[in-house]
This record gives sequence, structure tokens and C-alpha cells, in this order.
Amino acid sequence: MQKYIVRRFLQAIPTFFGITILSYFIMVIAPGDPVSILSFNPSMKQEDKARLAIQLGVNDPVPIQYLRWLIGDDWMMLDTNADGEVDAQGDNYGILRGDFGTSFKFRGSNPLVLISERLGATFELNVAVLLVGLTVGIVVGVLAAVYRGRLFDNMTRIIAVIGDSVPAFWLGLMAIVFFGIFLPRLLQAQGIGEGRPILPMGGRCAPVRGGCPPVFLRMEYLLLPTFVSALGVIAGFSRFMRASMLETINSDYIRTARAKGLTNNQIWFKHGLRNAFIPFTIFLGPTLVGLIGGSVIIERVFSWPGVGLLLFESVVSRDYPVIMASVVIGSVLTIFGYIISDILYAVFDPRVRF
Amino acid sequence: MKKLQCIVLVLIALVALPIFAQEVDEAPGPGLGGVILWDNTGGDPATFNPLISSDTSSSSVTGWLYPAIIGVSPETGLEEPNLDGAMAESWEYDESGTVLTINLRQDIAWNDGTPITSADYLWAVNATRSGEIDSPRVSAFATLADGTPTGGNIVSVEAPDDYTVVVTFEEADCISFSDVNDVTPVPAHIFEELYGDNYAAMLDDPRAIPTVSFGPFKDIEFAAGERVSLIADQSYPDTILDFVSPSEWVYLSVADENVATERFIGGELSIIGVPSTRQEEFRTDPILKEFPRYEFTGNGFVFFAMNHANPENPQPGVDEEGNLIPQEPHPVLGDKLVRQAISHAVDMDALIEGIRDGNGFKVATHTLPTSWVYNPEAQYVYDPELAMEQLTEAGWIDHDNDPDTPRICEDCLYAQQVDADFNGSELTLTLHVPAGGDIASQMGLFFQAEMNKVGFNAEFEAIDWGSAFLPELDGQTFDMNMLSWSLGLPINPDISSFYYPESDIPGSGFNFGSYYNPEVVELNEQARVFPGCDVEGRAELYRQVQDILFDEMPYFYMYVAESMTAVQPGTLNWNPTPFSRTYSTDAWVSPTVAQP
Repeated sequence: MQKYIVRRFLQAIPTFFGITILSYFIMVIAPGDPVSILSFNPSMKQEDKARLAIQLGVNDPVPIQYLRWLIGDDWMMLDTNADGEVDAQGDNYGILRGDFGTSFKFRGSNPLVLISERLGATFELNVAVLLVGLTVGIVVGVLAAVYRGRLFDNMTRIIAVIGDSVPAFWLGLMAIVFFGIFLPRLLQAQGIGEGRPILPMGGRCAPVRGGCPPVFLRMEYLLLPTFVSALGVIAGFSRFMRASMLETINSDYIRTARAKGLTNNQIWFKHGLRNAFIPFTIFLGPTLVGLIGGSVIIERVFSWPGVGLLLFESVVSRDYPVIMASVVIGSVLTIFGYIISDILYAVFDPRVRF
Repeated sequence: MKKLQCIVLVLIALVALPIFAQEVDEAPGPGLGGVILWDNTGGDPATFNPLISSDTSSSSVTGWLYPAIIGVSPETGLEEPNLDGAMAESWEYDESGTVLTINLRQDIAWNDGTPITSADYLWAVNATRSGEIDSPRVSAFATLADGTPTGGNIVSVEAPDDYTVVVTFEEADCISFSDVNDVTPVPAHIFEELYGDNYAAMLDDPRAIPTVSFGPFKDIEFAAGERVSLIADQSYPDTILDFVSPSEWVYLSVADENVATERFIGGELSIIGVPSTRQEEFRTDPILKEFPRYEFTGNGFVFFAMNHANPENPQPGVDEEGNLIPQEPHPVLGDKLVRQAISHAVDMDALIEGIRDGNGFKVATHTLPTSWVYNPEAQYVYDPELAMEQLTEAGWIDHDNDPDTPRICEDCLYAQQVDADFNGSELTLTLHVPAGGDIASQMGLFFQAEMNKVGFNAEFEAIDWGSAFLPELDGQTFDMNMLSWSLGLPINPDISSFYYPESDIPGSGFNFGSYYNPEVVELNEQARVFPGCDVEGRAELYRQVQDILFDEMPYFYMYVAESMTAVQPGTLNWNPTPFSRTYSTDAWVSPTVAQP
């Protein structure tokens, strides 16, 4: 096992560099460049654009740009004023020395700081979504397997298809309109309430000074984004759990358990359920990444100040340092997540040995 | 003539009659007017430093915190002396017209008590001219501090005493006055202490929170992705009511325009720019029409940029010595008759009515109805028959008498002037709009259908702004690309950035379509340096420019948006004008923000 873990970590090194090389090259060679986007202004002249390109470090050939991003440019002399002569030493240490550069859009800002400012909100929402999604999804999946072919199973199947196929953007907007406008006005017409939103229509907390209070004091802000986001998770988990449960229940050892005269409850929930959970361990790795990976659509609809929206804006504005910082964080977590997943699989399933 | 009078009257009505304009009402007292919530759909502000900002979100915040050197009147849209929030008390030019002396107010101070003086403006000018902070505002100056030419007209800025600023221009003109306002004064005593003359250090911490300000609000509290909050500054002397009525101003991040509208209706925002697709609802819906609203003609236009030069061989307008470089014409759009045919082929009234719910004002040049040089007679007429005649005249022949098939070139201009083998080619154009906007796509499809009816083979596509639209526009490799363009204040009819050959630079210039007419340049120059800057005299010259542009159609100018702003019912002291819907914010009394 130890050898396996060491081998996986060693394999992770070229994987990491492979991801960064591919990501960097795809990002840079994609049409559009940060200078054009940042300087779409009639006042900006060609010379200003050239100077900006140098300052951002995007005037070099792509391999040099990648190297400067990776190992820094403090060993190079640069032409910072675009006059054709080198005049200053670079001051970037590269990501291998922990320097992720500075954001193009938020000039001077450290990409890691920009991402960390948003991580709390994303983590908060994703934990809520995962808790709701796993809890409801597993329960529904198990019950659908137990009542296979009956009304509950068929209903959950239909709901799962709907949950998977309804666009989150549309559902989110409908939820906002329903709880924020339609229902309050309906109640007001009946003499109940003052027509104010039943649930907040967006944001992470009330827009007051002093920052957001602890999450348990503002749970109402989590309800709509969690519900809309968890619907797809519930749909996916419930179908996966149902399939896993049915596969387990048709196994030889379950048949043996029945032959031994065990009760249905013992068969389904003691022997079946425990083994049906094993395939779930493959979800644990990606889930780690998922906890900090934002959802662009949900964050956009509910004005949730998470990482997804920041990354979306960074891609739109070709903010290379922020994009690459997220690639590095994402790839490291993904690699580690899958290693942990593999290890857990061996821990949970005694048949698996590395 | 009667029609013209009608148009003028309608314009006056549109511009001058606020539907719910109010006089200043009583307010409960300092800081008791509630919280003002604006929506911010543009992402987090990049900085709170006005010298390095270039995004709208940043300007929206810094606009409350720093004075302007010269104020722009919300009533007229023009620079005027002695305006609230501005430093200039008066100004005068010398006889040569190249030296501008600005006398500053002596009654205003930063909120730490330090008087606001010429040193504050001078520090900002020096930082901008240093070239270290990479500011687009540097183009207002003739050179950087190190002598590098930057192409502007301001040669020097001096402060002979605390309350006088002397600006020297390279040449006397009538438009560089506004350049003085490009640079925002900052508290020099604070900035000097923080940065000294190491101006680049400002970039190290762009979100540094200013400790000293001048405006109705102060003390930034920033929550990434959520909001920027400012609280009332009762020390601000230029208030409408002698105190700041709202307790707080919050710039709330709402990434999506549709969501912002719903949140406004739900009471979670104080004010909203109503999207064109919802305006009719706000006029007619029994509940929504209770929201006080203000309708006005916007300060910007939507147009199809047309490439006059061959997109396969983009060339700059001039060489390094300033000599004109001949442009190979665009195979289709290089011919004025074809461009004019397009103007007659597209029913703009139907487009505005059908796609924008009537919320648009048809224009035919870059001059807006609110401009002092607007000519209401310049209007294209929808006449598909005339369009087809013009195409035939231009050598684009309907060879099979089938209007559904594209016309082909039979001795068209390009075949005559450039390549005889072009004969037989189809009348093909690509129409591109930025992806992401339903209305833009609908308008693109409408143009495609209308143009194809008269014999074009127009291919339409909505393409990504950053990766496709901007590169081909900037690189001048497009045929027809649709853009919306917002203008600043004061209104400036100068067209040098857009139609001069010097602005025709593939990759950076804003003369995307490589349009050049020496007469237009000459008239524009005459208006720019008009003796005494007499408004009537300049307007006449600018109208002549418009007449030529109307005839030659460098671009297809489509419409100016009819805009609508709405506030919560019960809002007091909201006095919108065509040039500003928010200038009276410090007097507002806003209903309590809705919270569940």
C-alpha cells in the first residue's frame, strides 16, 4: 500500500505539469487577448498597447510566457517601457516559488487572494448542496430500489429526469420570482404580510455593513440556491444509489442471506446498503474539488459571491494569472482527490488490494 | 416642415419631461433617509483609486469620493463653473487660446479638514504623466514626463498658487478643455505620504481603501463579490439639503440583469435601469406602473460598423511618416451605393417596434438627438425597391430575376477597380453581433432577412466578444459587426478618433472600417479650432460633417436607446435629468429595503 501511495504521488508530478502546460497553451492560443480587452478605448494608442502587453508579460512567445509563469522572470532583464531596450529586471518568482503573479483585470491583486476571498462562500454553498443532495439522493435511491417498479420508483425516476434536465438558470429565476414577488403579493392580497419577499432573492447575507454573520444566522439565504443546485445532485445520486442497491441485492451473498431466513430489513439495510455504498467512494475524490469549485450559473442567478463567478469573469477578460491559479488549485486537488479515492476504495472493499 | 416641427416637439418632450420629476421635499434628517441600493452588474471594482481605474464599477464608487476639477451640469450636460462636487469656480483663456487659467473654489476641504487645492490636481497630473501607472488618461497630454510623445494637446499643468491651475495646450482648440477633466484630483497630502513619487506603487495595492475623501459618502467597506458600502459623510459641504439624507449607499453585486430587475420589483434595490424588454410592462402593468419612472433618450447608439477596406488585407491608414496608405476597397461595402442600398433595405422602424418594443430612436449618424449639433432631417427611408435599384446601378445584378437568390457582380466597383475576375461573384456579407444578448441576435437576424430580400447573401452569426468579435473588429477582418457605443459627457461631436486615417490602425485604432474623406477631416478640424469656439459656428461645420457622413454612410447607425430608470415607490427628492438620474442621491429618502 505504501509503495502504491508513493508511486501515485510520483505519477502526480508529471500529471500536474502536463495539466499546466496544456491549460496554459490552450488559454493563450485561444482567440482574443487580454490587451485588446483591457484597452478597448479610443484613447489607447498602439504604443500604449505595446507597453501594456509588456507589463502584463504577454508579448513573449507562448513557451517563454509559460516559463515566466512557472519559474519566474527575476533572472531576466525586461524592456518595460517598450522602447526596444531592456531597462529593468523581472520581479516575478513563478508559481514554483509560490508567486502566482498579479491579476490583469484587478491590477496588482494576487490571484490567490482574489480566489480565497470567494472560497468561503463557495464552500458554504457546496457543503449545503452536498449534504442535501447526498442525504435526499441516497434515501430516495434506496427506497426506489426497495420499491422497484412501483409508484414511488416511477415517480422518482420522472422527477430525476426533470431534475437533470430543467436548466438551473430558469429554475433559479422562477424560484426568485415565486418566493420574492408572486407569493408575497398573493399573501398580501389575502391580508397576510406586507408583500415583502418570503425568501431573499439573492446574495449571501443582508447587505449591511460589518460583514456576514455566522451561517446559522442567515440560513434563509442558503435555501433557494441550495434547493436549485441540489436538485440535479439528488437526481444523479438517487439513480446511482438505486442502481448500486439493485446490483448488490442480486448478488450471491444476498441470496445466501435470504436462504438463511434473514428479514427483509436485515437484508436490505444491513447487508445490501453497506455494500451498495462502496461505489460511492469513487465520488469522494471529485467531491473534494467540487467543494471549492463554484457553479457559474447558480452563483450568477443568486448573486452568490463564489469562485465560479470570479473564474467566469476571468475567462471572459482573459485574466491569465487568475485562470492559471485556479487551474493549479483545481488540478492539485483533483490529483489528490483521486489518490484519496483509490485509497479509500481499498479501505472499504477488502477485495481490492494494490 | 410640419413633420420636422413635430419631430422637434417630440424630442423636446422626450428629453425635457420627466414623468415623475419632483421638487425637493422634506427629508427626516441627516442619515435618516434610508439605505440606497444600486445594482452592480459589472463585477467587483478593480480599484478604489481613480488614477488607475478604467472600469465602470470602480468609477461608480470613486465618483462619490473625489471631486472633479470642472463640474458637468446634470441639467445641460455641459461644463459649468461653481457646480456641486467640483473645484472650478471660474476659468478663462488667454488671447492665444492656448493657456487656460482655472480659479478654484476656496470653500471646500477633504473630510479630514485639509483644504482642497491645486496641489491635489497637480499630484494626480504628475502621477498620470509619469507613465508608471499605465493610465489611458495619459493620452490627454502631449508627452509623458520623460518626453515620450503621447499625442494629446496638454503641454503642461502648473499651480502658481493654491487656488489656481494653469493648463497650457499645444494648440488652441475647442475640445481639449474636456481633457482637463480626465484626471481626478486626489488628496495629495495622503498620496504623497503613501507613495511619494513612486507612482507605480499605487498598482501594488489597487484596492487600498482611501482614508480621506470629498463627497456625500465615505468609508468604503468592500466584500468581494457581494457589495461595496459607503456611509453618509455629513461633513460634505455641497449637499442639496444641507445634509446627506441617506444613511448608506450600497453597490450590490447582481451579476444578471434579469435578476436585478426582479430584485428591484421585490424591493431589494432602490433604483434600476429598466431593460428595454420590460419597459412596456412598467408603463402598463397595474403594479409595476406604481414605480416612479423616468424615460429619456440614452447617451449612446447602436450601429453596424461597415468595413470599407478589404478584410483580407487590412492596412493602416497612414505610414510612419504620416503619408496616406492606399486602401484596397472592400469587395462589397467599398461601394457607397451598396452601403446606401443597405440603409434602404432594412426597415428600422419595424426593428425598433418589433424587437425593442418601440424603445429606440432612429438615427442615421453618430450625432444623438440630445446633441447641440443634431440634425433631425438626416433619416434613412425604408425603400426596398430603391435598394434593389441601387444595387443594380452598383453592378450587382439579379441575373435570374429571382429575389431569393443572391445577386452577382457584373462590372461592380471591385471588378472595375481591383480584379476583373471578381465578376460573377455573389453579393455575400457576414453579419456578426456579440454573443450573449438575445436582442442583438434578433436584430442581426432581422438585418440578415431584410438584406437577403433585396438580393444579398447575408450570413449571420453571434460570436464571442473576447475570442472572436473583438479580434476581427480590432484586426479589421470583418464585414459588418454590430456594436453599441456609450458616449461621455459633455457631448463632443468630434470624430477624429473614429474617422481619421491616423485612427485606422489594424489591431488598435478605432477607425475600424478604414473610412477616410479629406473633406470630413478638414471640416472637423475647422470646427475643432474654430476661432472663439463659437457654438453656432462650430455646429454649422459639424452639421456639414454629418451631411457627408449621412450620404457616404461609413457605418449603419441604427438607433439610440429610449431608456427608462425606475425607483421604489415613496422615494423622495429623486430629480432625474437626461444627463443624470442620480445626481440628487444625497437628498434621497428611500423606503426601507425589503428583507424577508
